[in-house]
Amino acid sequence: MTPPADLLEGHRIVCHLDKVLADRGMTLTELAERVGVSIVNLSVLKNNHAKAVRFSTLTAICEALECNVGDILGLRP
Amino acid sequence: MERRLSGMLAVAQWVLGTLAVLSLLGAAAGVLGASGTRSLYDRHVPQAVADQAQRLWPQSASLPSSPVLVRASHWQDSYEVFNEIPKEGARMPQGWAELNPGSDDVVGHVGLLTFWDPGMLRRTAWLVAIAFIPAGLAWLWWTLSRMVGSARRADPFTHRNARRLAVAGALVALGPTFALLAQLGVLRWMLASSTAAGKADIWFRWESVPLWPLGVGLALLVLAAVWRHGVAMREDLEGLV
Repeated sequence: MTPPADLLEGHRIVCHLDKVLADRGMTLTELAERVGVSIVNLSVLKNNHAKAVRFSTLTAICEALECNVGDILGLRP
Repeated sequence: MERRLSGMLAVAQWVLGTLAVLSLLGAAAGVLGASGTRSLYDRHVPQAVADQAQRLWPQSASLPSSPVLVRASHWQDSYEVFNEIPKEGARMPQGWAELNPGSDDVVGHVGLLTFWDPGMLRRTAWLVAIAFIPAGLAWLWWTLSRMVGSARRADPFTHRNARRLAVAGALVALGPTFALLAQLGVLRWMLASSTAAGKADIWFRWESVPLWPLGVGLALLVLAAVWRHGVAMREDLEGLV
């Protein structure tokens, strides 16, 4: 039996960027412009395909969305 | 700039591919040429025919031959006695080997022994031994060509390329020594079943082992280790936002 994708990746971190963006009424393109990170990379993060996030990226996202790290990232049970 | 680099890589890939084909042709020529499989049929070659063959095909010099030390009991042998030259009209003895220089003088301590009739099996083993280096080179050029191809596709840092480099390093480091020892083994095997058996010995000096391929091969192995580390680092960075 093939193990679930999150076990293959070796983590249970989940990204809530889409929810936070929707709450703020902001598009991914707009966030990319504000944060200075490519839309491709932000899309990777939003779709839970990222394996690691730089502290600088997290800081920039949190500043742009006026939120905390816990609002963007969570731990899947 | 990127276009220029891509062009240079394309040229390099083409050159390496051509070298691979040439090396393969070299190996094939060694095996199929006048001194290759054709000589498999040169059983009981009369001296006149052999001389003619050497005139016609200078590469016949690559017939299995080796420097030998003549044993003391045969130092006084004449050319005819040592080489067991048959009387007029008789067939050459089976497994005939000729000690050069081929004059009527006393043979002496050292000479070059040519195996004119080593037999099908030994001859085939010899061809494999001499084809090893050009065939190995062909594989090496082809592998490098494929690595350059992966660089053209902007994907050179892969486990496959690291493995290719490691195998190439091992081949370059050990290949020439292996080929030399294989040729030596086959020559000794030929000597044991030739007319010169018990009259001369083939010797081996470790100084004759080329050292520079060992150095180049080790450098490639180190590069392969660095490459593998690079691949691991790349994998770590993949998916980093």
